[in-house]
Amino acid sequence: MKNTISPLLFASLISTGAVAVEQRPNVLLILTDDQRWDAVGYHDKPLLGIDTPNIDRLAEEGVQFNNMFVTSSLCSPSRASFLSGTYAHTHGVRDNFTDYPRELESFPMAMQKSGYQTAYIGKWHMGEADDSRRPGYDYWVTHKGQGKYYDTTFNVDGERQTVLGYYAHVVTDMANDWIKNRDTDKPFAMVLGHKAPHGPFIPEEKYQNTYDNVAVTYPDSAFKLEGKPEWIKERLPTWHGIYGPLYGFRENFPDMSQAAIVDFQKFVRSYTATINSVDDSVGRVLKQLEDEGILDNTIVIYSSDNSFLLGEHGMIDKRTMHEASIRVPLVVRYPKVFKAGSSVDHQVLSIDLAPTLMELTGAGQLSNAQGQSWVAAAQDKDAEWRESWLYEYNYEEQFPYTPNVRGVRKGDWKYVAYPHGDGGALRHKEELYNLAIDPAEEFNLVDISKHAEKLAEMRDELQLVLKNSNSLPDRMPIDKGIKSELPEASIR
Amino acid sequence: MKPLFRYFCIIFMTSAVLAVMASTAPEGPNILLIFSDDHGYEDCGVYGNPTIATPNIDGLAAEGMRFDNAFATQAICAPSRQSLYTGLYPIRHGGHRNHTEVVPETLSLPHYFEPLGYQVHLAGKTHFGPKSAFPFNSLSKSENIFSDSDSMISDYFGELKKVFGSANGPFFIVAATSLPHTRFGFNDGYPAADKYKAADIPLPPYLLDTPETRIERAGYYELVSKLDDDIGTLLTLLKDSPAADNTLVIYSSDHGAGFAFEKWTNYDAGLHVPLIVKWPKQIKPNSASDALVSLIDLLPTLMEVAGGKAPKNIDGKSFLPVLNGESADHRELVFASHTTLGIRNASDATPIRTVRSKRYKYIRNLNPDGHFTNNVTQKGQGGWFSWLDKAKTNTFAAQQVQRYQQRPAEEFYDLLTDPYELKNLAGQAEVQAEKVYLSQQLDLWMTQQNDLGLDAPVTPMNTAWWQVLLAGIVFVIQFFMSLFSGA
Repeated sequence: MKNTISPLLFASLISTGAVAVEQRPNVLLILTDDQRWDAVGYHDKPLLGIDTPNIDRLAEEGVQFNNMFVTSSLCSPSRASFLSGTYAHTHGVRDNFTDYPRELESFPMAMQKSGYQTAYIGKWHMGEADDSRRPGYDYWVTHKGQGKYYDTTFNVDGERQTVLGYYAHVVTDMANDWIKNRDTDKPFAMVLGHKAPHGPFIPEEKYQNTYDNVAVTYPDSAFKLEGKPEWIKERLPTWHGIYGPLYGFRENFPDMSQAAIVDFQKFVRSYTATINSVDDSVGRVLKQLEDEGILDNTIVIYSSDNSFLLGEHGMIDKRTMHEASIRVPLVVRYPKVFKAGSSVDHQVLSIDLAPTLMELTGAGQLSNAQGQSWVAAAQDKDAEWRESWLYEYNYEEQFPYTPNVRGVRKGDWKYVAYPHGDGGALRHKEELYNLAIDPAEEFNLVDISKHAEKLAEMRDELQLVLKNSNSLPDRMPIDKGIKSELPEASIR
Repeated sequence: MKPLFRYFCIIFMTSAVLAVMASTAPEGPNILLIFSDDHGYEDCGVYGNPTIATPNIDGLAAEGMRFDNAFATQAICAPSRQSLYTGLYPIRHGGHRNHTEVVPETLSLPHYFEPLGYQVHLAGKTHFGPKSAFPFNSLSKSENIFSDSDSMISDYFGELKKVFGSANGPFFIVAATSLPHTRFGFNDGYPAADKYKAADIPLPPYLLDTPETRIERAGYYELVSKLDDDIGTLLTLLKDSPAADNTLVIYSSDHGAGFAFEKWTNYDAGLHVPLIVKWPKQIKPNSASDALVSLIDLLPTLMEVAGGKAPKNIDGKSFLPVLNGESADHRELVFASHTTLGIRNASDATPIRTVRSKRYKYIRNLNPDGHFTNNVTQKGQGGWFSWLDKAKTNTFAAQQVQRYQQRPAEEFYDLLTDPYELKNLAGQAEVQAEKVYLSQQLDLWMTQQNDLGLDAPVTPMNTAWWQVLLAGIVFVIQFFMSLFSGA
């Protein structure tokens, strides 16, 4: 039955919300942690030439999004945005130490209510020290904090146990077991959360030398800091700068000598190698779905909670609004709706995924959602789509290497402000980029008089997107400055 | 021109020049130039190496100015040294092939400094010629171009102490040690280390990480520390002498160490050298400069320091304004060449020409079909044979082995994003503007130097019959020793 419905008919059924329960598609969201948009084999210039045949298969047989962004580039806030379809201002998970609000509706909660069996397996990372079951999940496996690459202690559906093995494979085993043993009378929705490629990167043994033969260089933008805000230069020797300790890959720091690149090379190679294991995981899950005969009736989504700076602007890590911090991979395989090998240029956001999945599964609407479904836009390049969107990040005393960030992207233009947090005048220089001609963000146009008008327009646009997202009055922590101290060992 | 007549002319011209200079020169500070043999820029504490112990060189930097962008003109002994002493690039002074002499009429450091009232001494390694072009007051044991290859500063402490205490006008001493060059007949690599553990040695990424390379690298580190000890003793002797407060001290080296991609190449690990200048009461202690300078600039700079005028017809340019803090910049570009002829175990010529700005380097390999060989590839120096083994199973190793011996016609590197020159950008569209600019500058320089490239004339090797015999004896001894060690 499920194989006889034409994609067109099926799409029309979905759009009218008239999907019969037994035909409703399964949902599998594979969410990695800190994966760059270019750390996939299907990218034009894959990072270090990485080969990810299984993720590439999703792109070949599905739709790839060329402009997918997260609205907050930090684990917990971004994960909450993926699940709830709301901005950080709205969901309130402003930092990595705040739990997902129990009463805030997420797409798994809504799907559970509409008849889905739901599972969360892997990295959750909202509410640092708590691995207890959250509302909306029939099956629950996670761990406290970041987890470990090897031998993580999980709460496996109520029972705490240390599972020996490499994280990517352990969670894959659990996911496949659950799929095998699921209730076949009901559709399912599963989030499979990977630890990789989050720091401290420990590649699986078989991949640890994969990139030894690839030349790793610093990006050009690391040396084009003229015209940029001073805090970017202050970040260089810190925990989040290229001359700092690099998550422990460098023993003596800050190190500004040319030899410092040796540690940076190890850092980048290790980061990249952890993704190869995730790709193996994707291959195993796809095979499981195929073996069960449900692959084509499953919406498989692959994305990441945020991107990761590898030297861009002299930075590592994330949190800022620069492209290398916010641009993530997104591929979706669902042949009944999305044409194999298609691609989408619309700027889609982390907050759009939940509304999209609600539409595709006919599970109704999330009442709070601020994102919008791209089901139509993914099939039509001329479809109506948003013109501008908000980016936000809130200063963390635990990681004092990035100021408060409020920014807006409108078309090819990006404007970023760094409010002090007291509602007063800006104390950091702003940034203004034209991404059509400067995709690497090397030329801050904020001081160029020729662009004064554009600057004024973008400042207004920021206020507009803040207002439209119910973010005013715009509360945030006080910026206490960029600091050289290291974060506490327990939260690195 | 008959030789005797030519000799007479040179003496006449030289004395005329000197007489003019002497009449106008006020008395400058004493100058002590400590010049080492094969010490790479990075292999020094003050240049950021956390492992190597060089407290005395670091201490000198703490009292003076450290130059972060100083370059040799050629990454091989004799041409580099002859450039240092003449202020000329190697093609122009003529001794651009290793172990060959400059054009006999060439003027050098003693010619320029004696008229300024200086007593000009050389203690240690010569490796230049002919004698008439380098009329140092030699403290050395011998004056042949090959002589004193093994000499160290410690061999001359007595003589140097005397000069420090002499009252015969200011001195200019070149203390040219053969440390940290490979020992044992110069081609069998580095000795075993006591002080450093091979496993602890940081390897730059162009070197393959093999036990053999690590062991030799540790041995090289040991020699650098020995060099540093000698510098410490020498500086103590100076400190305890009447010259202490009025002596400008310089430390530098002819080029990088004897590993692959260092000496014998135009990569930075070959050309980039340490340069530290201490000048009491004149240079701000513990200062640093990123001005681009070449070792040919030292001669004119020191002439100005000594109160003289820098000659206009040499390639070097004085960077005195950088030393005294009036300027932050010096050159836009530095140039370098390599002939590869005359080096030990060399193949046919694979000449290299290079131009470097602070950020970019353009290399032109004049004979890209040539297959480069030297002591590394033929004698296994630096652990090369272990590289060949590794290359059988490791792609990166195979790449490195290949690109060391077989160079493309053009190379282009961005030293900021890729300081170890691992990624040749010559074919990349986004750097074509920079590449074309540097390529044109290189053409211009070659024209100025009257550099005929592949056809550049080379003076013959001046190897004496007894040197050939000695090399033969050493070879036979080594051959038998290898038989025993193999058993």
